[in-house]
Amino acid sequence: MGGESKVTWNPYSKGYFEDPYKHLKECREQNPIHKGSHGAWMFFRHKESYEILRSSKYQVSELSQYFLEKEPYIFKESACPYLSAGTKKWAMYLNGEDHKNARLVMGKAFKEFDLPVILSESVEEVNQKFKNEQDFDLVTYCAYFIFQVIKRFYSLPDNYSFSQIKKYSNMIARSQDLFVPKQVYQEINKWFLSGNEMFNNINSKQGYKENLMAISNKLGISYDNEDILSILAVSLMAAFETSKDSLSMALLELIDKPLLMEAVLASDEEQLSAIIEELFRFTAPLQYTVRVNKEPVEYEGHTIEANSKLYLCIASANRDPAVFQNPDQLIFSRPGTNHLAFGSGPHVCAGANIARQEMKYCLKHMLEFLKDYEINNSEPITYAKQIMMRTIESARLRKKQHALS
Amino acid sequence: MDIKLLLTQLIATEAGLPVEEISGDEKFESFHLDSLSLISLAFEVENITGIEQIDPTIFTEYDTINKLTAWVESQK
Ligand code: HEM
Repeated sequence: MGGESKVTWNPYSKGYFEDPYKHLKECREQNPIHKGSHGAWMFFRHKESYEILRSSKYQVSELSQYFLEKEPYIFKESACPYLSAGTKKWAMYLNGEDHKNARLVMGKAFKEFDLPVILSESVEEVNQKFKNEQDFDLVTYCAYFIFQVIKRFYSLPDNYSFSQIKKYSNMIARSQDLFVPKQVYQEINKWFLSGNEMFNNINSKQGYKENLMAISNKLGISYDNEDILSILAVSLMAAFETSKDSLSMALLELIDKPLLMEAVLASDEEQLSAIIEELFRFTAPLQYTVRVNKEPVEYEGHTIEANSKLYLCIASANRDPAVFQNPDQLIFSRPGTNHLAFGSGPHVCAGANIARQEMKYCLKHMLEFLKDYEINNSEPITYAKQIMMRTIESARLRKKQHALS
Repeated sequence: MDIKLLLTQLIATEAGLPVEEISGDEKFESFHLDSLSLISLAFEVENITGIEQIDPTIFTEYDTINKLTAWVESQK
């Protein structure tokens, strides 16, 4: 290796947002554990990420605490800082008892719903809405489906529009991203406050908010209104953002590859489950997650001092050829594998089952409808400049010639 | 647009120092700006100059106002 300079992780490298996988592959092959351009440790292989996620030697980083320290700088005298309060019950950034409780309450609150009914109604509704469109945005289509699901979970009042919820989800999700300037945090803060207003206006005696309050009461977990608002925010964001992203990336891939689309349409129940897992592996909408080491650790001759932030690249782990043969291809017959799209260990996605059911109930129905459409190449597919979560902003479809009546 | 003056003003504001105390050859690290400050600064420079998607790590490479001014000029 000598004095050869090895690649350093930098999401501002050319073309990263359109296709991060080229850069991630270089990192994984040339420099699988190193300090990235932002000075934090990066892990690109499946092996280490999997071990770290499952090890009790690591904790999650505390987002709410970070905001508490930064709020005086971000807001100076202005506005009503709400970033720390808004994120204070976000399970993915909590450790110990606080984490256990938040996870328990959310899990039970979601279990109350009749998912098959909600999902079938929602997919019906989205196909109905788009059925006369000659040309539309696939991302809007996917987001509208998830919106229907969320509306039913949350019993959202009708005056909150689809585009408002879509924007809200994206903005509060960005609170977790890397390289966010204070100007954007100020904007995110406004969305947190408008979300509170929305959640405070939910009067239904049924729904997720009521479930959260009833269940935390029953379990003797004392959550005040601010805690409940924080859980409502994280649940909406986690359910909306990642599901929309994985669905839109998956559908785009299938529309682009008719043979794969046919395979999905022809699949039986067991095959469909395997296909869905493969789509999650491939799309990995949450591309990174962070852990903090309680003690110093040693990796390949590097000593990482205690309390460092370790960025685990889920997207790269899911394309690691040591675990997945031909990792950049969608292979529906792939043997069952430990992909990390939902993380692993104590913080494994609390909504993984919901996400799987969403795909199970929507995928074939959506493809039956979308098979008459093709990617509209006259408009570029655009990606958000986000690092932690990969998000397609827009992907236009148009009706195929022969399907035009 | 006087880029150097602009950067000096922005950095003075971020560092909470009077403009007169900011020298063009002084390393950014001596102003004790943390990464959030630098990212916010990059964002402001993007907005004002219209340069798209500034890599927030440029401050490590172009680590004084003079160097950064030259870089911004070269992007136009
Ligand atoms: C395709 C869809 C989804 C993907 C890829 C995904 C991915 C993930 C990942 C990777 C984590 C672990 C984060 C970490 O280890 O730091 C996570 C956590 C979480 N997810 Fe999901 N998620 C999805 C859908 C959902 C849905 C639908 C919900 C809620 C209904 C949800 C709720 C959560 C929550 C609450 C956590 C935090 C769990 C904890 O820290 O204990 N997710 N998700």
